[in-house]
Formats: sequence, C-alpha cells, structure tokens
Amino acid sequence: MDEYSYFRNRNESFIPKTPIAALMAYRAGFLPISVFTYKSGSTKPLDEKPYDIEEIERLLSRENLSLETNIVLIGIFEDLIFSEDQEIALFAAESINIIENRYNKKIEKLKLELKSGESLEISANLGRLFFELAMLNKERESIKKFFLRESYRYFSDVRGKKGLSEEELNTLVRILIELKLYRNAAEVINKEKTEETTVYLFQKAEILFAMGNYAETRDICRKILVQSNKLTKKEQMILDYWLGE
Amino acid sequence: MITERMKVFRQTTELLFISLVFFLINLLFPEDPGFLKTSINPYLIAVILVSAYYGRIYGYLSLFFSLVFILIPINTQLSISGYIVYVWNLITTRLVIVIIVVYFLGMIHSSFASQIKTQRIYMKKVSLEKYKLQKELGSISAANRELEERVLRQQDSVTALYTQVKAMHSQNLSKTLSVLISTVQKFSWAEKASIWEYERDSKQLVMVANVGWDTDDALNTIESVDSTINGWVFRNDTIFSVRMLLEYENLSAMDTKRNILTFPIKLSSSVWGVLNIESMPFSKYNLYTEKLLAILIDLAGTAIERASEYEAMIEYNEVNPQTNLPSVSQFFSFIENEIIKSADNKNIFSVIIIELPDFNDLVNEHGEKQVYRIILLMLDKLHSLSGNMIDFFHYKEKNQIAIYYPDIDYDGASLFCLESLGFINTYNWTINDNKVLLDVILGYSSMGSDFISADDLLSMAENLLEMQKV
Repeated sequence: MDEYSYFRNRNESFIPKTPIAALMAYRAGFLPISVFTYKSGSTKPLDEKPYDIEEIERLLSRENLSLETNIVLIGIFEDLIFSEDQEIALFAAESINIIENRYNKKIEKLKLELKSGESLEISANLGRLFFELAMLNKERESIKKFFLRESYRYFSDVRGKKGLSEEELNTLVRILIELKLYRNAAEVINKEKTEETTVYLFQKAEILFAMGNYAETRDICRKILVQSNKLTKKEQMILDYWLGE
Repeated sequence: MITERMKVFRQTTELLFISLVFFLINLLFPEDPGFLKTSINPYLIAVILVSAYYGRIYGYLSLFFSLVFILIPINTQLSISGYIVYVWNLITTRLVIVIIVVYFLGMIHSSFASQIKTQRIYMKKVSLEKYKLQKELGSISAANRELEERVLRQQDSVTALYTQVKAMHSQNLSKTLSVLISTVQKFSWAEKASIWEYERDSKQLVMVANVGWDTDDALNTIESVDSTINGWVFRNDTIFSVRMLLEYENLSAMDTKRNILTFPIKLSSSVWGVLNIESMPFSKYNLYTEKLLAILIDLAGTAIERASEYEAMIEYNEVNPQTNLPSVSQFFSFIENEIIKSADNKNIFSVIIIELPDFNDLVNEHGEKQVYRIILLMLDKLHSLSGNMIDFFHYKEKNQIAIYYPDIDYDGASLFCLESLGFINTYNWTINDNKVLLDVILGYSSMGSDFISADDLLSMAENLLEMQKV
C-alpha cells in the first residue's frame, strides 16, 4: 500500500491534529499507521511563530507539566500578552495565572503539611517548587530573586539538619549561581562533596567559568577527561571544545 | 491440590445424597422397590445426567450408589436373597443400557472438558498477554508524552532556526537586529549579548542592539577597533572564543571580561560589524553552539544587508508620518534602482498594488487614524504571509499601497495575491470592537528576464487594478 495515499486523498479522510488522534484513528481503522508516524515526527516546536494556540491550549491542559515545558509556555504567554487580539492577550494572561496557581496550590498544600509535622522531605520539595517558580520568573529579576531566596531558605534548613542528596545539592548550587553568589556556591560544593564525581567537577568548572577563571576551568575539564569513564555526549562536547580536540 | 480434593469429596457427597433422596422417596412406595416397575427409573435417569454433567467416573460412581440403595430391601414380603434376585431380574437389561450410555456420555463429556480446558488455558494466556500489553502501552504512552513535550519545547530545532531567519527580513534594520539578537539568545541561552556596527566616519564600533544589558553596561556603547576584542574580530574577520585567551597573549591583554564568543557579521562585500556574547551558561559554551551561531550570522547577513540598503535609500523626510511607510516618489526611485540591478544580476521581482475602494467611506465613518491602523495591521499580516519578504510603500492615491516582492515571478505574485485576498476576506477586522468589511483589489506585474521600464511595469499592475473596477 502506498504510504502517501493519505496525503493524496486527504479531502476524503479524517484529518487528525495530534499524534494521539492519529493513533486512535489507526486503531479504529480510519487511517493508515503512516499518518501516526508522520504526525509524531512532524511536531512543531511550541514557540515557533505564528503560535499554534490550539496546540498550546492542549499542552496547558495537562496538569503535571515539566519545568522545561512550563518555562517555554510562560515565554510564549509573555509574548502573547502583547498581542493585538485582545482575546489572545487575555488568554495569555490567564494561562500564566494557571501555571503559577498550580505551583501556588502545591506550595500551600506542602506548607500546611509542614505545619502539622516537621518533615525534611517536605522542606526539600518546597525548596524545589520555589526554585521552579524562580525559573518561571526569569524575566522579572526581583520576583526571581525573592523565590530563589525562599528556595535557599528551605534547602539550607535541610542541609543543616540532615545533609543534602545529590539532586538537592545540585539545586542549591544552581540557586547560588543564579544569585551570582559564585564564591558561596564554590564553598557549598567543597564542603558537601564526598568524592570528586563528574557532576561535582562540572559544577566546579561552571562556577569558575562564571567567575572568569578560564585557565582553571580548562584544568578542571582536563581532570574530568582523565577521571571519568562515562561521559554523556553533551559533556564530551564541552570537554572537546575546551581541550581543543 | 486441597481444592481438587475438596471438589471430589463435594461431588461424591452430592451423588450419595441424590441416591439417598430417591431412596427416601422410594420408602413411601414400598410396593415398587427401586422404582423398577415404572418405565422411567429416577435412579438411572440421575445416573445418566450425572455422567453427562460430571463425566464417566462420577456416572459409574452414581450408578454404584444407586445400585446399593436399590438393593436395600424395602419390601418385607420377600427374603433378602429373594429380594436381590427379584431386583436383579428387573434391572439387568436397563443396567447394561445405562452402563453403555454412561460410557458414551462420559466420552463426550471428556471431549468437551478437554476443549474447555484448552480454551481456558488460551484465555488465561490471552488475558496475561493483555495485561502485559496494557502495562507496556501505559509506559509507552508516558514515554510518548514526554517525547512529545521534548519536541514541543525544542527551541533550538532547525525549523525554529528557519522561522527566525525568515523573521529577520524587514525594511527596518533595528527590527532585523532585534530578531537576530533574540535568536542568538534563544540558541545560546546568552544572558547578555550585543551587536556592534562599524561606523566608517568615526572608525569605531557602535553598539546598535543588545539583550540583557544593565545600566552599567550601557556606559560602554562605543569601542575602538584597535584595542578591543570586538575590534580584533572586526579587523581580522575571525571568530573569537574565550578559550583563545589561554593561547594568545595579545587577546588576553585586550580582555575586559566582556567577550565569551564574538562573531564578525559579514555582508557580501565587507565586514559590517560584530556580534558579541558577553555572558552565557557554561553548558552551552561548546563547538555546537559556536557553529550554530556562525550559521545563524551567515544567514542573517543577507537580511542585514537588505535592511541597511533600504534604510540608506529611504529619505526619512519622505516617510508618511501616520504609517511610517515611504512615499510614492521613494517607491519610483526604488523600483528604477531595482530594475537596473535586475538587468545586471538577472534578478526577478514583482510589484503588487493594493487598493481599498471603500477607503473614503471608512475614513468618514472611523477617521483616518483608525483606518490606517487597520491597514497597517493588514500589511503586517501580509508581511508574515510572504515569509517577511516584502517591502511596502505608499502609492499614487491615499487608498493605494505598493508592495515590492523580490525573487518572485508572475505566477508567484498571482498566487500571493490569491492567498492575500483569501486571508483579507476571512480575517475578522475590527475598529473599536466594531466589525469592518475590508474590501481590497489587487494588481500586479513582474520583472522577468526581459527588460521593462519602471513605467511599463507599474502600468501593467495599474491596468489590472482598473480592469477590476469595471
């Protein structure tokens, strides 16, 4: 069967908008599987203009979106707020509200739980949520800083009482880098590190790079290359660039 | 195992109970022991049913229980041996028939039981497979969702690059540079970046666009080409990367901690200026980002050149103050210039004239300012529709706008006019929330391989307009 027949006869066929719709249509026998493959492989990045409002709405309707997706969505809505179409501008403003409210609800719930009984796990979760809120408000410096400080407060609490997990330590270092407190970030990882892992060395390199100590950054990159057996493609790319290979 | 034993025990008890029930009923009719005088014997019927339902073994077991109960003497007129002989004589034939029937029914039962067992094993297997598939489907759906989200948030995709490069085409140099710098920010996650143009008169680099700059940064908007890294990049037409500071002392001496990656912006004949990334995340500082930005800047060169040429040509005292569009005289000189260039380079282009027949009525009803606002919105939409390729000018009449469309011939212009009409007729145009019917007519002509004078070119487009008014 010609895999392209759908495109040639598409006036007679059901035209799915999403890969899931194409898959359901295939299961029901309306469309060939090639349509699902095509739809899955042709997803347009959300932030490409002109924006696909329907697609944005569809994604926004999902409750548990990742931070990265929320950041992209917020960026789009901040742009759409200035749309000449008032309906779209209103939709954008409401959507930003929806995303922030989702975070606020989670934070309120966790704060209530924290009131009823102290839990370091809840504190760490609150710290993470405040950090995510800060990342969502990247364009509004003062709000971002406020959320970063809140996040720092919770992680410091956890650090003082039980010590940080690797993920929590990463977030704490990221908070300090975002606040441009590079020396504090370096102190934290030096105190908290148990061994010189690749993650730790990359963080150290990142801090040195941000401080403008390029020679030391290159030395760390060399150290990573010697010590680490397993590197991701992205990590390898950074090292290759610094070491000129 | 325990369940199987319990089942055997339960069924055996059932059979015993059935025979016992018949025996107890039989006690009420002592003149007919074992119901042997009746044509349909309940004991034997029960045996047949049991063998059909439970199988051969239970059938024979039921027959055994029935015989035991039948052989219990309930008629006291005969001696025990006499009673047994009497019963045996009556039952022999029926007993043989029942034994044969039980055998065959048992065989049929076994066959069905075996089929059911096979089906049951199959169903169990299918159900297990279904459960596994459902689990697999659940995890694949979750993975698919995550992948979909990843693709959707893919900001540095080639398609996004293409869209951004298209968006750089503009008549306005500031707009082109603004799109370029926002694209650079998008692809490199730069926290601070700036574009510097070389000013020939002062022989200095002047900052013309930036992103992420704070008030302190704004103090340094002019740089020497001799003693700065930006200047070094400009003079040598070479990319600078901060790791080069470790190799070259001359660069180290010029470093002010304001250059991470710096690219020369080259137009067709010379270096126009530089793009400097002042701050970016460590994770994005790699060869991939460098190459990607180099591609982007190469592609942006054409748009910058075009916008620069356009700005150099347009005299701003001849720009309509309400629309900021150049006047008709500018259009004529622009077209004449393009025709000369076309004769040299064999470039093609088209001219489209848009006319609003109801312009005066709309102005009377809503005022000139509002009508021009809606016209500008329409032009903006047409600009997007063309992939940001077209330039606008005022034409001879107030209700006419001329469009210059490069690299497109008669067929392309015709298709663009059709698409534009389709769009204009379906768009919901409003002035102060009141719906407005925007009626437009379009005329077009193209500069192909043969030379046409500017007058002829524009006359052809005007003739097409006039034909639609008849």
